[in-house]
Formats: sequence, structure tokens, C-alpha cells
Amino acid sequence: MSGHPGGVLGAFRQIDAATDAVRELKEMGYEDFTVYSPVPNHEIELAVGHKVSPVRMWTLLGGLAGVTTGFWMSLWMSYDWPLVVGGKPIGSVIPYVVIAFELTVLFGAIATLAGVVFHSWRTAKPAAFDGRFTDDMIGIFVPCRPDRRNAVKSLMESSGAAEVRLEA
Amino acid sequence: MSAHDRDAMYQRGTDAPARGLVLLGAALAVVGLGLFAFLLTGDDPGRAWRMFLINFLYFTGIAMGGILFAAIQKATKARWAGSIIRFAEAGVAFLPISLICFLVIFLGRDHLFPWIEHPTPARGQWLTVSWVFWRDLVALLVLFGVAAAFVRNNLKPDLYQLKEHVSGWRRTVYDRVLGGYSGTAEEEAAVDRRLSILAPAMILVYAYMLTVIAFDLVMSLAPYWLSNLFGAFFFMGAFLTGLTMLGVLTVYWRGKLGLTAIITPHQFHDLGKLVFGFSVFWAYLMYSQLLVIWYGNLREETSFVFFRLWGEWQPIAIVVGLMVFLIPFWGLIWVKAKITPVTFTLFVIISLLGVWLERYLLVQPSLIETPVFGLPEVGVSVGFLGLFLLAHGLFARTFPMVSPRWVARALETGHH
Amino acid sequence: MATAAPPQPTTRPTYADVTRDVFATLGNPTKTWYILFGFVLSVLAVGVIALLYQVRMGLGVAGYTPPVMWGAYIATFVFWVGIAHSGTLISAILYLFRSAWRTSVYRTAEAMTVFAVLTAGLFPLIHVGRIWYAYWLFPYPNQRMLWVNFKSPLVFDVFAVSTYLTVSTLFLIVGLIPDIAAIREKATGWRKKLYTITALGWRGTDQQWRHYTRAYLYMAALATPLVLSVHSVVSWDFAVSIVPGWHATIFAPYFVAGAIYSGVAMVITLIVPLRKAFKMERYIRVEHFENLSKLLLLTGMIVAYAYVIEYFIAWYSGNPFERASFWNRAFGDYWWATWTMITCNMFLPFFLFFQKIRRSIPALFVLSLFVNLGMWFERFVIIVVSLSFEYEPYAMGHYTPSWVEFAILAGSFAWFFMWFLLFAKNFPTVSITEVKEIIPLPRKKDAHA
Repeated sequence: MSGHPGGVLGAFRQIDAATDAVRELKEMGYEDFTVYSPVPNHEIELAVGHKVSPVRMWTLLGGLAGVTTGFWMSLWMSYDWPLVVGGKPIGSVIPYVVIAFELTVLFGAIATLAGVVFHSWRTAKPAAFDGRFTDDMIGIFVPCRPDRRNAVKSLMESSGAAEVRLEA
Repeated sequence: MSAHDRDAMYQRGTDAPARGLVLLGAALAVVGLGLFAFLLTGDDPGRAWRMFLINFLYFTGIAMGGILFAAIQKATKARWAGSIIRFAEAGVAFLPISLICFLVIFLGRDHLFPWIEHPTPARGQWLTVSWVFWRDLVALLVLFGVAAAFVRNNLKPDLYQLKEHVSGWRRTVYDRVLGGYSGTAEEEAAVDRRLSILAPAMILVYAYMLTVIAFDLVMSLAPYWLSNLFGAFFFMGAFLTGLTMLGVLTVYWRGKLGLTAIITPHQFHDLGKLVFGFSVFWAYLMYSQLLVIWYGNLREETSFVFFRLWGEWQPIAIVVGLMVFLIPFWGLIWVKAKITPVTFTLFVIISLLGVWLERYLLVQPSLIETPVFGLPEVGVSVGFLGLFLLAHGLFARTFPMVSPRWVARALETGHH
Repeated sequence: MATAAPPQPTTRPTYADVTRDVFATLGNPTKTWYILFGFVLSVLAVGVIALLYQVRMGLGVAGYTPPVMWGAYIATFVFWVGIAHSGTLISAILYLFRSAWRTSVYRTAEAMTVFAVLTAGLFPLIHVGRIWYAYWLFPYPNQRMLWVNFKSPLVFDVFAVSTYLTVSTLFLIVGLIPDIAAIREKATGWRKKLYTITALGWRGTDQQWRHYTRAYLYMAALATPLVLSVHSVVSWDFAVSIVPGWHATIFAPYFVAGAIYSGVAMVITLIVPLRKAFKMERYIRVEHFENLSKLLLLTGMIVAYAYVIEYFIAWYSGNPFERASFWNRAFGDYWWATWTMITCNMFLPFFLFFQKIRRSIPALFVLSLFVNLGMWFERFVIIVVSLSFEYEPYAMGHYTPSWVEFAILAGSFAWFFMWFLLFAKNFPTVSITEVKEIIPLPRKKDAHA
């Protein structure tokens, strides 16, 4: 068992070759392929055409949670044992802005990271991989039935793949 | 893009239709300054003088903030704003007007500077009319001189390219600005070298000279108050207005000149980010000053701030906070709002007006007890707006509003 | 302009070159590394012994003399927090501005940030003496259910510094993940295992990049105001009091500028030898140093502005205590500290107006050392000199750091460099992914040409 469904794995050197292959695959009706690239690339993003990542909602909600916690904590703890310090009001909003701000950033950053982990985990698909895809090659893996593999293979070759192999 | 389109764009970029702007500016200026003159003869000339000072500070800040942006963009070798930078540089045309306004302010000095009637012993000679006048005059001359030299050198290569196409008085102005510049490679290199010195010099004199102005013409109105952040707060606010005014002008000229091909969402996005960033920075400086004063709780410091934040002036302070910080913050945080011209313009104008109100709030409470707002306030401000538009329109009538070098470059890269 | 610079390879590296060249910097350390590491460890040992001695004997062994009860420890704390700042600036702010030149240097700067905060965080603990009660700093009620005082800027510090440490560490790790995945494929032995685990399953799929690039953008957007806030909070430790020389509204932006100034200098100090040892001349070029030195110049000018305004306002205030305090700074007992600070921070950066200096790596290296020295003295001057000369003449005192404080100061440098040396040999100090990003990928037409 190889841990991933059978299919075709193509390796590309040229960026436009890879994006051409992606577009043609989409025209042929393939949706669940995986594209590997060593760097984030805008052209690949456009070709694949995902929606904007939902991670931003995590950042926003994390930040809002942080600002609320910050003000709530500092105010509640001040009033829980009221003690006048330096002649200032017990619960002083002006300095507590700092606490609220720091927690906004802290919660926002942690939530963002949690969002990446969560969404990457949810959108992960088992797929064949090659170590060169983190070095200098762009990879496309298309899971498909054995009888269709040759068609996909020739598609990739004609759009300029450097190497295509069938994965059982 | 065809050769015809190219020529058309070239033509529009270098020969902007600004007659309407000039006429509108002149009309507003006549009305507003007429009202100002009328108010001086009335029973409360101080009210008019205060607005004169506020608007002098505000519009000089806008003009200088724009030129500072041009200098920063030169010093950092940023390219994204190349197609809109002339709208900011046009502020240079307001500087002579600003200088005259400065001289006029001293005619109304008795209505403005409380330290004339009640000298502040701790400051000694520092706060006396002649010292303040000459000091500020020199500061403004240095500041405006560097700004004018910077813009002039930036214009030279463009004017050289275009001077054969213009005639009459424009030709005379071009020859005067060019001053013997003959477009050789050495001269072009010399201009570049000069700009590489003038750009950082511009940044330095901007900070120091506007600090002098802020201390002398705003901080001294409350003669016992002091804050060493105040200069920076003042000139960063001015920079913000320079950016927001640039945003408004970009939207205006983009439509007027049909420059959609070279002024793209890209420029709006970056400008929107800068406005967003400097709104936050404005709030940060404001908070830094407030927090230190709030904790220190020293009488001479708190009076200035608390008088503005609590009591009769509080509503204005809240509106300022909303207009300069909260509304632009929540508005411009979204990419869509930044790149859509309608929303971009909306938030930028809110911020621009917000800083005007902030300048109002810096000056007025030092001199009067309760807020006044009515026709005189609006009228004098409209007069200044007219002067600004007039200066801007005259600049646009005379000089290319988009550098022909930029049009050429943008069209070339657009091909590929 | 290229005449002053040494000849540099001009061909653009390919993607494979980048992975290979950066991977070559990892692996078994050289003899020089072991010698350096040994030296660092022995200095650290001296610092630790001094600390243990202080813990055993009590804070009396430090040079505190009333009224100067904040001394070298606090100055060093502020110094290290400041060093941290340029890392986040280069990695986050320049990222938002899409400056391409940051790509080669940001990883080093970011690692430096994490280790500098890690160092800085020790000093409040050392300073309070009874380290075992350090948890009292956190909002944790004591036996009487009494909470911490949220109006104290020292509590702000706890929040700011721990947020900063967390966020900058996360930022460093997030940036590292694709790089670790790249070197995972090349490594062997135990390193292969290490990288396989730390790459967290990264493969660079379209979905992974989709979430990653967004997240990185938002992290950068959060880290940017965080940088401003952290050193502002540190400045408020001083500014919210009414000590002459401390109570100044300009402190927050002034401290932030100073922090970035010292941090950029430290980046230069680190990168110059690193580039040589790791043969990174192809990636870290003279242009990078020139850009760093422009940042140094800008922040140095802001610091100079703050010095000028501080002195001016001290005079303008007419307040005899303010005036005396600033007079004492320049011409009192500690004149040498003040003039060291002014020379290093205000006058030396003027050299950076010359392009020759900005493009000369040896000159920049020397300058960066002076800036670091000057910035430590700035903190010393602000803290110690202001405290030693407050309102009442009968309560004035003179403070000199004791050998314990000097040993711990030296130990803090050793601690910082220990982390950096370990990091440099095990993780990429030049970002593989981001350096690749600014190199265009080949296209079909290139193959035919």
C-alpha cells in the first residue's frame, strides 16, 4: 500500500507548462488534483482558482476575542479586589488599552496559526509526492482510474512536463 | 494599445484641462477671503483670525505632506506611485500662498498669541513677537526652499521633453524652470545626484521645521503647556493629510484625464494601505501623549489635554477620534474598500476632514472657552480651500500632471 | 558605483542552487564553530556563576545605591528588547511593503529577534532578586485573592514581552516550515528525522500555500503594530513616572526608533561574519547592506531628533528640575556615558550619508559595533543618570555597576550567541523559500532560446 490513490504524477520545470496542464485538467473535469510548488506562486493560484482562504476569519475572531479578554480581565480583576493605586480610578480604561491590545495580537496570531493548521488538515488529500517538489520542480498529482491514466499522462506531456509517471 | 491611444494619453497627461479648477478655486477664494475681510471689521475679529491660523496650518500641512511623500518615494526608490506623484508635488504651488498667509497671520497677532499680552517668564526671549516671527519665517523659507528645489529638479527632465510642444507663457515658465538644462546624459545624472541629496534633506527639514512651526504657532497658544511629542504629532498628522489629499486628487485626475490604464487598483491599494497605516500611527502618537500625561497628572500638562477630552469640547474630540482613526480603520482594513474608488474616496475624505477638525481642536480651546462653529468657520476654510485649488489648478495648467516618462514606461510594460 | 565593492557573481542563482547553497551551511560544524561555541559557553558559565552568587547572597552584591535602584539589569533588559525590534521590522513591515531585498536577511533578523527577547526576558527576573517568585508577575491571585496591578506599566511589560516572544517565535517557525521541508529531502541521519518532524508534514500543495500565504500576511499585519507597542510599553516603564529625564511624551516613538536602530546594527554585526563563514556572498550582497544602512540612517536620524527635542523642551519648560537633570546628563558625574551615547548614536550615523560608507562592509561592521555600544549607554544614561539626580539634593547618589552585574551582562551576550550559533548550524539562516520567490521560474520560451 502506498497510502494514496493511484493516479498520474507529473513534474514540471516551467511555470507556464504547469499552469497550462492545470487549466487543461480543469477543462477535462478533474477537480481533486494536487499541485505542489516550492514557493507560493500567483500564476498557479490563478490557474487552480481557489477561493480566498478562510484563515482571515480566524484572525478576526481571534483578535476580537483578545480585545474582549483584555478589557474584561483587567477590569474584572481590578474590581474584584478594589484598591486605589496612585490616585487613579479603580478600573481605568486608558491604560488597559495596552493590555487589550497585546492580547488582541496574541490571540489573533495564535488563532491564525490554528486556522492554518485546521484548514490545511481539512483540505489535505492523500497524494503521491516527490522530494524535488520542495526544491525546484512543480508537481501535479491527478488521482484517476487506471483506464484514464494514459490520457492524463499524454495531456501532461503535451503541456510540457519534464517527467510523468504512473503511480499505483 | 494603438499609437493613437498612446498619443491621446500622452496629450492628456501633459496638458491637463484645469481651467474649471482654476475658476472654481478663484471663486471660492474670493468668497471666503471676502468673508474673512468682512469679519475683521466686525465685532469679533479674533474668530476670523483663529480660523485663518487653523487653515494656514492645515493647508500648509497638506501641501508639505504631499511633497514629503514624493521625497520619501524618491529616497526609497519605490516605483508604484510614479504615475500619481505629480499630484502630490503640485502642492509646491501652494507654498508661496502659504508664505503670504504666514505674514498675514502676524497682522492678527494680538488676537492669536496670548503670550503677547501675558508674557511667560519661563520662556524668556523665546516667545516674543520678533523672535517667533523671524524664527518661523526662516524655518518656512528653508522648508519651502528645499521643497521647491526638490520638485524643480524632479520636473526638469519632463519639461525638457515637452518644451518644444508648448508655447507662449508656458514656454517662458519652462525655460525658467529648466534654467539651461539641456538634457545631456551628464545633466540627467547631475539631476539624479541632486535629487538623491534633496530627498533625504527634504525629510530632515520637514521634521525639524514643522516642529518649530508646531511649537511656536500651536503649542505656544497654551503658553504653560508643553509636550515634546507635539512636533512629531503635528507633522505626522500633516503627512496623513498629504496622503489623503493625494488620494482625492488621484481619483479626480484619474477620471478627468482618463488615466485608468496607468492608475490601477494597484495604486489605490497601496495608497489605501498607507492611509490606513498612518491613521493607526496617528492614533498611536495621540495615545502615547495622552497616556504619559494621564499618569504624570501634572497640572501644567493635564490642563491642555483634559480641557479637550472632557467638558464642552468632548463631542469634537470624539468626532475627531472617529473620523481620523476609527472610521478609516474599519473602512480601509478591507482590500475591496481600498481598491474601489467610491469607498476609497469616502474614507479618505473622512480622514481629511477629520484632521481639519483635529487642527481646529488643537488651536481653539487654547484661546476660547466654548466651541463656536458657524458661517465664519466654514467660510474662511472654504476660502483657503479655494486658494489651494487655485494653486493646484495653476500648477496643472502649467506643468504635466503625469510625467511623460511614466506614461511611456507604463504603456510599454502594459504591452507584455 | 561598483568600483568600491568587491567583485560579485552576477548570474542569477537557480532554485536548485538556492537549496543546495543554503543546505551546505548546515551539518557538521567546523573547528572554528566549536572554538567559538566553547568560548561562548565559558562566558555564559561566568554569568551563571555570578547569577547564582547573587541568588545566594541577595541583591546587595549588585551595585544598587539609593536612589538608583534600577541599574544595569534594567538597562540591559531595555537594550535586548530593543535589539529584538529590527527583526520583526524587517520580516513584517518590509513584507507588507513588498521590499524584495528583505528576503536574504530576514531569517537572520527574525532568529535574532527571538533570541534577543529570550535574553531580555531574563533580566526582570534577575533584577527582582527572588527569581523563585517570578510567577507573581502573572495575573494570578495570591493567597488573599489580590490580583496584579494592571495600572502598572511593569504589568504591561509582562503582557507585551510575553506576547512578543510568542508571536515572534510563531512567526519564525511559520517562515521556517517550507524551508525545513526543502532541506528534509536532502538531509540524512538524525537530521533527516529532525527535519521530518519539524516540517510538520509540509509538501507545498496548492491548499497548503493557499492558507499559508494568507496567514503569513495576517501575522505580518499583527506583528507590525506589536513592534511599535512593545518598545512603547518599555518606554512607559519610565515615562509615566514624574522623574525628570523620564517624564516625556516623546518616549514611546523615540524608544521604538532607538530599538530599531540598535537592532539593525545588530543585524549587520551578525550578518557580516555569517555571510563570510557561510559563503553567502551570492545572496547577501552589497545592496542588502546598503539598504540596511539606509534603515540605520533613518532610525538614527529619528533618535537624533528625539535627543534634540528632549534637550530643547527641558530648557523650554523652564522647570528647574528638568533643566538641572539635563545639565547633569551632559556635564555631571556621568558626562562620559552621555557623550558616548551622543557620539555613537547622533554623530556617527552622519557617515551613512556617504554612499561609500554605506557600501563598505568593513566600515558598516565597525559602525554597527559603535551603535550597539551607544545604544547600551543610551539606556544607561536614561535610567541611571536620571535616577541618580532627582528632586532632592540630599537623596542623590552615585551608582556604579558591580562585577556581578558586568558578569551577568557578559553572560547575556553569551546566552544570545549560544542560541544563535546553535540555530545557524541547524536551520537555514537565509530563507530558501523567499530567496527563490524573487527569482522568476523558467518558462517554456526560455528552453527554446
